Amino acid sequence: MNVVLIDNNIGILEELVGVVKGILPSSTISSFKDPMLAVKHVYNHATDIVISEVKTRPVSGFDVLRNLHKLRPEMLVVLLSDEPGHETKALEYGADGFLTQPVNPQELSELIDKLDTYKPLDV
Amino acid sequence: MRAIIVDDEQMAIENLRLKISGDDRITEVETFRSPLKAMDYLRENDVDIAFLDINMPVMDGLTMAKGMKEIRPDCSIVFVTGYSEYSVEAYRLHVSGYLMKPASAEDIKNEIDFAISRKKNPAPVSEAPLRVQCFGNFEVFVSGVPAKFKYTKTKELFAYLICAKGKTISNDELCSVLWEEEEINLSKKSYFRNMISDLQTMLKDAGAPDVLIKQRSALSIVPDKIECDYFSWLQGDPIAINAYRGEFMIQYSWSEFSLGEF
Repeated sequence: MNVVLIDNNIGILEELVGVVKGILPSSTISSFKDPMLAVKHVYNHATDIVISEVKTRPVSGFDVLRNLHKLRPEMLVVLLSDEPGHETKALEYGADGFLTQPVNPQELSELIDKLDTYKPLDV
Repeated sequence: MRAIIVDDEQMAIENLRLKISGDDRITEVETFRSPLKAMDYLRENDVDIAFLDINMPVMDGLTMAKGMKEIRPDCSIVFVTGYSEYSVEAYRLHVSGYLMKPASAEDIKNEIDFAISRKKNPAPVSEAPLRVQCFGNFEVFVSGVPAKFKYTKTKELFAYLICAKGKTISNDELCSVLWEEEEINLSKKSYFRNMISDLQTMLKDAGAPDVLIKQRSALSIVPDKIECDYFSWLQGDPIAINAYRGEFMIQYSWSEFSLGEF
């Protein structure tokens, strides 16, 4: 499974890498400080799920979501934000999931299971 | 296309060489375990695409890429690495792309596709009446020529409005961005009014007077009326997406920070 993570803050990004590694140990994780580079990567490389913070520059998580839905409609996109109020907008734009920061590994794990992309055959 | 591979591990080189040679468009592949020898080779020989490992002793891939930009600026550079953390730094250097080891034949094909399209279409100079470039340095072109502003800050004002993507920004906010910590006194307010006139003049000369919407104490631009790489990106244009190299409005530090749009 190919995962792309996006957050301007490297510390938070690294923590997120750790959380995702724990949930999906055999996945390939590409992390990006720059959301536009992340989208370029997704455009050029097979990706299963994108997990992005909403409040990013130079484009927001919402911009990434809209862009990816146009380019890669089958892409799963989960948005993260420390403002619960962003959830409505996220779902409006078609996010496959929304979680509040800081991310609770259990919640992320359950969300990924729900999205049915996690194959329990991975050991 | 002539390719080189630079990696301190022979196995990694062989793995990549096999896949690269499989692409018909590649006519030559030279391999190097030493980045220094690779640089010597590049000084004497033109190369179209270079696959570089990042983690090498003596000279790492990032340093080598910087050196290559000086001697072979047209060569496409693709990093091939086992570490995803480097993707951040890699892109800041205007490299074509990066691949995670082991790179698949499909990944390699995509990078070659892209390197070729870069050669065929070197940043077309658009003759559009008004074109705005946000990737790299912020630049404004009127019929292909850099726009003339009476004041340097007018360009920055325009950049901020472009960054806002059409959202209305109050004059107060604009002034505080343009003059950061400084107090906004009467003379600055008067200067600001002159900047608005300056911007309006530039747009009128470019035949695009309705790009700027001026309200009593706020401004906004109309994105639909501007040819802009950033706006094309937001609309999902694959060319804009691939054109982005990790730099956005380099001259302006505020481009790193949120514009409160969330």
